[in-house]
Amino acid sequence: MKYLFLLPALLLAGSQATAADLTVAVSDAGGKPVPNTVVTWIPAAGAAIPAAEKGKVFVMSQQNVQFLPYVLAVPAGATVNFPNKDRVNHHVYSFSPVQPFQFPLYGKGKSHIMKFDRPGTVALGCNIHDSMAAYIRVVDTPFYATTDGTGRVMLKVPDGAGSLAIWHPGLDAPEHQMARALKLAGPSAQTFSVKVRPSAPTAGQY
Amino acid sequence: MIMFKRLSTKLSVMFGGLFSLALLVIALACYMAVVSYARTSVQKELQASASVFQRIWTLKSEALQSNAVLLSRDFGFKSALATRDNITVESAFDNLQSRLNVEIGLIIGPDGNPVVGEAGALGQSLAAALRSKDEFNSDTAALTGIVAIDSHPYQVMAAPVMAPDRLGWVVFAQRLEGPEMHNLQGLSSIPIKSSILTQTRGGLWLGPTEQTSDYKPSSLSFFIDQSLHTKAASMIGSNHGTMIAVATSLPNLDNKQKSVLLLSYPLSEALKSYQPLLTVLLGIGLLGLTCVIIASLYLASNLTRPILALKDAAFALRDGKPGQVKITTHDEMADLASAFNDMAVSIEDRERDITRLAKTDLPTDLPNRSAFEDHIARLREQGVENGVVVVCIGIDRYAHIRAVWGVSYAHTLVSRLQDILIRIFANAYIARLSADTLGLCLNPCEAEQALPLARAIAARLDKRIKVTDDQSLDVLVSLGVYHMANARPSADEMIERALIALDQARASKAKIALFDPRIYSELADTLLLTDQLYAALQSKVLEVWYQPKFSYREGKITSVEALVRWNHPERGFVSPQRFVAIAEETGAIRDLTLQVLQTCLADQGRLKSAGFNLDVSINYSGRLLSDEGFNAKALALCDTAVGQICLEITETAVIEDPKIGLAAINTFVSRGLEISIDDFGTGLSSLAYLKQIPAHELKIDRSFIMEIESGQRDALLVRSTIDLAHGLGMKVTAEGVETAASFTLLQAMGCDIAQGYGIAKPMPFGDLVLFLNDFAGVGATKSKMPVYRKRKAS
Repeated sequence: MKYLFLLPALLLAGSQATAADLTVAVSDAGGKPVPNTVVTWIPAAGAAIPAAEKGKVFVMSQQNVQFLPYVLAVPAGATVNFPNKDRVNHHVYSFSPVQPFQFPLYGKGKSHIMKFDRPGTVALGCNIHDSMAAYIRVVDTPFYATTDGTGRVMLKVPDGAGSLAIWHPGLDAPEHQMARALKLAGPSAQTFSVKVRPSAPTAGQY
Repeated sequence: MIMFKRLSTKLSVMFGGLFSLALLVIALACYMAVVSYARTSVQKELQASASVFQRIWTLKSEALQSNAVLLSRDFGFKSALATRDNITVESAFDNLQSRLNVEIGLIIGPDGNPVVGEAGALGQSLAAALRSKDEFNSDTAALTGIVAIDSHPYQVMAAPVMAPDRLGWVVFAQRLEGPEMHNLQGLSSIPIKSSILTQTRGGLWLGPTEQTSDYKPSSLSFFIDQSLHTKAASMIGSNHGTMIAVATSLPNLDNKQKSVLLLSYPLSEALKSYQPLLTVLLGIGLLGLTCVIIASLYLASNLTRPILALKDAAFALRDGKPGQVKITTHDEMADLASAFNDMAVSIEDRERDITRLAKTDLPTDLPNRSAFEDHIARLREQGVENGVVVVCIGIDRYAHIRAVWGVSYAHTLVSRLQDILIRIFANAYIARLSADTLGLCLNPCEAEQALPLARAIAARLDKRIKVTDDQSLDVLVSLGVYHMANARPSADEMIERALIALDQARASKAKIALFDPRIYSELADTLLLTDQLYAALQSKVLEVWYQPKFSYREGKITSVEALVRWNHPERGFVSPQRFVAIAEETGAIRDLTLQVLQTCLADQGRLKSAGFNLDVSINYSGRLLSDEGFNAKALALCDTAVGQICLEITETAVIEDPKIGLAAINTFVSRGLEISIDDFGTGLSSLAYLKQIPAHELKIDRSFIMEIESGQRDALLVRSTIDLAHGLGMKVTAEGVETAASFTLLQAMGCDIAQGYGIAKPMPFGDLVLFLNDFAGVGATKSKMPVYRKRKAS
C-alpha cells in the first residue's frame, strides 16, 4: 500500500535530471519511530501538482468500526472515496473549517466521494460511533508521503531550496506541524525528534 | 529534703502525700482516658463525615456531569458549536440549565473563551483552568473538581465537546458555601462544622471569611498541613474554644490549586456527654482523698503516741524525775517501753548507789565531807537566821593510833566517837571530814553557845573510850569552831573555816579555837605577798642594808652583816622574817640569796675603793646547804670577792641535815670562805655537831645578850659559851648589843665582836660609807661604847 503512495515521487524523479533522494526519519523523544506523519517538501520555486496525481484514487474506508487509514495525505484537488465495509451503518462528518461535510447514515457496500480542494486538515468522525476518528491532510505540493511503521519516508525531490515540513495529529507544535528550510544538492537524510501526544480518543463513554 | 519537726507530721505527709499522689494519677488517667475516648469517637465521626461528604458530592456531581456530557455529545449541539451558531448553542444550553436547575453554567468555544452562560470573572477563571487541560488526554473526557475564586470555592463539572477533536466545554458549577455546606452538616449525627479552604500562592490556607474567622490564619494553615500529613483528627484552638478537626484533601479542577475539606467539632461538645462521669470521678476522688488524709492522721498519731510518751519519760529521767511509761499495747512499742522502764529503774538504782558512794565514808558508813556540805547548803536554803555552828573535831595522834592499832581499829574508834556525839546531840549532823576529823553541824545555835558547846564536846570525848569489847583508848581531841549567822560564806567555806580554826587550835596548842578571821586574812595576804615577792625578785627591787660589827680587839668596824630589806610601794618595809620565811617555803630563797650575794660582792668592791677593807657576812639558809648545784654557783660568785666573805648559817639547818650540810660547809671552808654559826643558843644544840662544824665564828643569840645585865644565869651562859667557842678555835660575836653596860660586860668576858643597835642599826650602803668615815674618829677610844648616832634610813 505504501508503495502506492511513493509512486508519484518516483515518476517525478524519472522526468527530472537533477533529482535527489530526501530521506526523512521521524522518532519521538524515546527514539521510537512515529508512523502516520505526513512529510511534505515545498520547493522555493514552487511546484504544480500534476493532473495525474490529482486523478489518483484515494480511499478512506470504514472497517471494523474504524477509519482506515488513520491519516490520509492527499494533494489539493484530489477526490477521496469513503466506502463502508462494515455491516453497520456510519454517519461520517467533519466540522473542520477546511471542508465541513457529512454523509448521513449509509450501509454496507455503499460509498460516498468527496473532493478536497483547499489544503489543510479535515478531522473525520462518525456521529454514531464516538470512538471513530481519522484525519485527511490536504497538501499543496506534489512531494509528500506518510511515514510507515518505521517512521521513515524517502522523497524524490529536485535539488534546490525549499521547505521540509512534517505534520501529525498529535504533534505538540503549533498547528501540529513542524517545518525546516533546506537547500538540497544531492541526497539528504533528515531526522525529526518530536513530542507526540497519544492518539485521539479511541473509546467514548457511549 | 524537707525536715519535719514531728514524726506524726512526717508520717501524715508521707502517707497522705503518697496516697493523694496515687489518687491524682488515677484521676488524671481517668480524665485522659475519657478525653481520649471522646476525641477518638469524634475523630471517627469526623472521618466518617468526610467520607460521606465525598460520596454525596460524587453522587451530586455525577448527575450534573452526565447531563453536561449528554449535551456535549449531542450531534446537533456539536454542529452548532462547530459552525459558531451561538444562538442555537445558547438555546440548547438554556434548555438544559433550566431542566437541571443549576445556577452557574457556561459553554467554552473552540478558541477557549466562554461562548454562552457565565461570562464574568468566574467564567474567565473556569475557562483559564480548562484551557490548561491537555486536549488529547483521554482521561479528560469529563472533569470534576474544586475551583476557588478569591477563596470562594466552587464545585465544577466540565464535559469536553469532541468532534472528534475538542471543540469546547460544557461547564456547570455550584458554590460550596452557605446552604450547600449546611445541607452537608445536616447529614452528620453530630453538629459538625464544615468548610472548604484553598491554599494561596504564599502557602496560607484561606476559605470564606464567615467560616474561617474563628481561627488564626497562621495556626489554621499549620494545622491543615499537619492534618493532611497525619490524616488524623487533632486539636486546634479557636475563638470558641478547642476544636477537634480534620482536613481531607479535595480534587481540584486546576492542578495548581489545592483545596481541603475542614471538618471541625468543639471539644467541649464532645466532652459534654462525659461531664456527669467526670463529676462522679471527681467526687469519688475527693472523698477518697479525705478518707486517706483522715486515715493518715489517725495512723500517724497512733504510731507516734507511744514514742512521744517514751520521749517525755526520757526527759523526765534526764531531769532526775522518775520516768516510767504506761504500757497499753502488746506490740514492739510495748517491748520498747518495757525495756525503757527496766532501764529507768536500773538507772535510778545505780544513781542511788553512786550517790551513796559519793556521799558516804565507806569504812564507818558515816556521811562524808560532800554530804556534810550538802547538809549545810540545805540549811542555808532553809535560812540560818538563828545561826549555825560547825565544829571540826580532830583526833590527836590519829596517825599514831592507826599505825599502832591498825586501820580498822582506827575506823572503829571514829565510829565510837560518832556514837557518843549523836547521843549528846540528837539533832546534830555528824560527818567524817577526813580520816582523823569529824564534823558536827548544829542548827539553830546562838553565837554565845558555840564555845560552851565545843567545851562540852571536848569534855565528853577526852576520856578513856572503849573501842572494842576488850580494848579501850585514851582519846585527845582538838576542836575548831565556826559560827555563822546571816553571813555569806558557802557551805564549803564554812567547813574550811572550821578546819582552819582546828589548825589554829593545834598550832596554838589550845584545846579549842574559834575561827579567827584575822589569821585567816593573814594567810590570804601571805599568798599575795608571795606573788609580790616573786615580782620584786624579778625586778630586783630588794635592797641590801648593812649592820656594822665592832671588833673589840682592833677597836674598829672590821666587818658588816648584809641584811635584805624590801621597801614595798604599798606595804612599806616588809618584815624580813616574814618574806624570808616565804622565800624559804617557796624556794625563792635561791634567787634572793644570789641577788644579795651579787650586791654584797659589788658593794665590798666599792667599799674597798673607798678605803674600807671590810669582811661581809651573808645569811645562808640552811635549806640551801643541801642544794649542791646552788652551792657550786654561790662558791663561784664568792671566788670573785675582793675581801673576806662569811656565810652565816643557823644551827638548826645544819642539825636538820648534817651529812650534806657538813660536806657543803667543808667545801666552803676549803675554798677560803668563813663559816659562822648564827643565832647560837636557840636551836636544839648538840655539842657533837658543834665539834664537827669547822666554823670560824659563833654568834650568840640576842636573847642571851639582852638579859646579860640583869640575869646572872645568862651572863654565866654567855661567858661559858665564849670560853667554849674560843676553846674550839672560834671567835665569838654577840648580837643585840644595845647598851653601854652590856658592851663593856662582853668586852670583859672576852667577846671578840659586838653587833647591835648600840653600835649601829642596819643602814643602806650610802649611809654605811658616811658612818664608817664618822666612826673612824671615834675608833681611838677602844674600851668605850661607840657613840650611837641616829640616822634616818633613806
